[in-house]
Amino acid sequence: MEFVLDTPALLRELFKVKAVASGKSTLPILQHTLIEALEDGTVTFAATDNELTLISSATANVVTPGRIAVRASDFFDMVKSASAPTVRISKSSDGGWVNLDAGAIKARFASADPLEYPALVRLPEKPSIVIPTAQFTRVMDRAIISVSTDDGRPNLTGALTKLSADGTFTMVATDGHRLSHVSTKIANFEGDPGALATGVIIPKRGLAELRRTIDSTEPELGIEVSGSNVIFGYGATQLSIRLIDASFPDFNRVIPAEKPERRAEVSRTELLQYARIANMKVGSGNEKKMVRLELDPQNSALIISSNTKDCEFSATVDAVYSGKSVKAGYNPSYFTELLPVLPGDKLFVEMIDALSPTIIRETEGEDGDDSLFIVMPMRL
Amino acid sequence: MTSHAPADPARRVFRMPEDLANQIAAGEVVERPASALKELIENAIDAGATHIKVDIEEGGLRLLRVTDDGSGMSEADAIAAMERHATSKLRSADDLFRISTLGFRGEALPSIASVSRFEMVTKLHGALEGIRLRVEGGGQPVVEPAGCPAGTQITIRDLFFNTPARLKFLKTRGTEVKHCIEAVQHLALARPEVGFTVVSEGRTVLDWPAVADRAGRIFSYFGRPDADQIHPTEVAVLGPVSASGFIGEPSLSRRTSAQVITFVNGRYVRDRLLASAVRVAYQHLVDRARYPVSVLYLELPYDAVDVNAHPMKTEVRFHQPDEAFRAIRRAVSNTLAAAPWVRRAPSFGTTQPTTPEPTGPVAQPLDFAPALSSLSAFDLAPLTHQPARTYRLDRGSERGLSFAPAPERPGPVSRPADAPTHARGFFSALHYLAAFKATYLLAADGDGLVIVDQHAAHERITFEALRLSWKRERLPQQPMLIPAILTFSAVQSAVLEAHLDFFEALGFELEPFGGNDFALKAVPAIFLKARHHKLLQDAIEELAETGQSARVEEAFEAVLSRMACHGSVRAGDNLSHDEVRRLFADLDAVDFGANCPHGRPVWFRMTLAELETRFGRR
Repeated sequence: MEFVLDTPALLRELFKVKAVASGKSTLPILQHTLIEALEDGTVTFAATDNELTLISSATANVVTPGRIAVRASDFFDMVKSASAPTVRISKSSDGGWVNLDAGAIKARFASADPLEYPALVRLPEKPSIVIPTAQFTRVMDRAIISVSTDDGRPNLTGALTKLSADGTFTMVATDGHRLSHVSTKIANFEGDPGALATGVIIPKRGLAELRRTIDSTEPELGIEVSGSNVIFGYGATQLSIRLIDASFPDFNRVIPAEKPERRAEVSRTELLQYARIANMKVGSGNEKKMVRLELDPQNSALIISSNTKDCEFSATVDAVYSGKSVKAGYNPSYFTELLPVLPGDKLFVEMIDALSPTIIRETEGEDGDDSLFIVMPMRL
Repeated sequence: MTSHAPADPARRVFRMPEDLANQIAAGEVVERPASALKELIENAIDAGATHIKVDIEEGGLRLLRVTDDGSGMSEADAIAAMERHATSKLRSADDLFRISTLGFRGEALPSIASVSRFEMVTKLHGALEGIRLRVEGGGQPVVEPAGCPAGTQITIRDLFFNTPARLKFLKTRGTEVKHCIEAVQHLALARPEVGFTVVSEGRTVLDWPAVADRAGRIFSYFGRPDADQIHPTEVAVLGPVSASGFIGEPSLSRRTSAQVITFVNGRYVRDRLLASAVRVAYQHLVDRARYPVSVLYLELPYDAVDVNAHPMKTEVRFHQPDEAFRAIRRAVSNTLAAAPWVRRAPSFGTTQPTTPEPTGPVAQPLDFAPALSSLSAFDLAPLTHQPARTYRLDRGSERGLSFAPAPERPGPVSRPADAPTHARGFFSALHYLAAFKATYLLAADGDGLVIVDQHAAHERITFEALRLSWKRERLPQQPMLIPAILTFSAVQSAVLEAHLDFFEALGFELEPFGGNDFALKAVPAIFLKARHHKLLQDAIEELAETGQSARVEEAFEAVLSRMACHGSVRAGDNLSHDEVRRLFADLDAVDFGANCPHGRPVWFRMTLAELETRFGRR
């Protein structure tokens, strides 16, 4: 096997696979990336840790087709320091070694038997679902912030992902204390939602890897649920993620009924700014931060305040509100994490009382978007 | 001769009445309900039972009932069994050195019957009718015919009713239930072919079906998800001794040795030697302060071990202790060496022998001693860690350090609650330099180098907040939008249920949810991101362990310190400059003198003078 590839292209591909082929795996073969040079001039790079599988390809000058398995991170580190414009990679004739030739640098690496490499799941030529990349990432970005990191509740460590036949794409995530329910309407959707009709749970790690490698210049994203995996295809890259095999809690029960009279319209940027102040370290106390929101219909205002023994702070922002006066305290980081990923300058805050879930709703979502966030107030 | 008064008849040597001898023996054999239960189950197992059901009421003090489907007894045997030293299991002194049955001393039944209201219903297989035998506080057995299924049912009511002194030493009902369940579990682990059911206060707390092999039983014992991290060991054979069993991944380590479980010839024993063999095998994989999880079975010829070392039979004497030790160690360490699931801890440079061993993300031993807790953290430091023998560490006294710009460091406890103060504390005034190994924060003051352990520091801060909350201020509580359903083991749920008010005072809202499940509806806000199930399990384990010996307050503080570990940054977490600044400021707010959770140093300081001495400049 032998091929010549541009150094930046090779680096880009190795960068993608090396994160998946982590050195932490207990199976030595999984620390390797499988590189396959095909007759038609494509070279594919694959890595898997049994939970994530990433396959990516680039066009190269393939001299001899073939397959090798090399340690992804070692290879990446070596190529990174190459200054030559192209790198030649070949399998040595005495077997077991892979030669790397990049101008001044010549190296050879021990390699593993490519036949030992586990079988890779691939996206079908024509995936069952194709949706616009931009819409997908918008939804994902707003859902991922609420995913739990507590592996004691495995069903919450991923986002429930659903697609209905009419093209409504939804992600729901919760850590038990707050919840993101984000959906978007895909125009002219045609296709079969398959397993996505009832919903699958995609682990946070997979979503993060998708976010890291997704190519926003690719207009479309292919999705296929195959067995216990979901495969995403974007450009020349595809990422397969093993789904979480658990049932997602019945979130509909915790979404309060819509009551427009409780709704206050406020500035997103102002709320964010003052929530950040409330979250700031003030004085020497080690109390847990709490931010209080108070809706004041008399003055059409939302009062944001925080109170530690060293500092008392409050800020008043305009609010379009005509309901009753209501007040509750929250973990400020819920707001400082959520508000930056929301679009537009306005949002709705819907408060019931100091103990009931509070809803933050997008007012002006982009085309077809509908986002709803629920946070649980703190109790003193 | 006549001048001598006749000896006081009360002082003459008499042969003890049978009942008294039995009560004395009961003191050794029947220490608490769990020990009576153990004896009864052993008898049931020796009788060839395939299923054993245990009923407990009020921790076994009101009622303890063991029902088996074993061989049963004839009337003559049943009456004989109530006499002291009557046993079917031992015929001669030679037999004593080849004991293969669990019971043998012939003490259990009469001893138990002498301190309780005792009833036995038994029928031989194939017999037309059985008998009912009653004994109340010793005394003569009353026997009558009874219709009953084959097997034996023994019911013990009002244990210790006639020995109030013993009754006084017993702990809470919850603790006794826990001991009973543990006793059943230990016997059941050795006998997978026997099914066990335990019902306490009408609730089934343990239901283990008979299974084909030990692996199946181990699965019942650990349950998911822990059972997924338990692996069988290889069989290590050393001469006549063989050892095998199941061991947990290092990450499954526990704070106490309760899960280092050892059996010798199918008999549960607590043996320091065997436990230390396990720890030696896990050396460097598990923090020194933690214990691995393991269930190990040692088999050796019956005449190579003396099980008659103690009436409770939980201690044994080996004729060749060395062989036993090596067999266990070999089984564990060979398995660990070959295990793909072992991730070895990153090793620190070997060229620096004086570097203290890396303390993993888990915390330190619970050196919780009331006498020490009144000392400052710094006085304790040299007792627990000896970071570098060649350095003379200047831990100083926390107040009045000449280099600190604000020697009168204000602490929140010592100052009026509503008088804000803006003086900079010792830690806030430090010039932060860098983090070493993402664990130790290096900082400088006027002419010294200060090293802070980030985990220990944050743990102390969290502990302080918890302690305050428990004592007086309630911490903000974060209710759940979607409650978590947490499953505990039978023992854990018994302990948890007995201490629900303690968890509630801290801000945990837990509700029994059927069986051994609890719904977690709210957590203290400081534990928002912690792993709640693990945190509660750790806390329960700590309660179970210290709850027996320590005063309530000490026990709870030990639990708090353990919880604090969960709410804190770990060694290896990268902290931003802002986070370090915040940590330092928080440290200034903690009153070190008040109490220290682990007795482990949070920081130490090396003066410039010492540094210069090291470099030969002085």
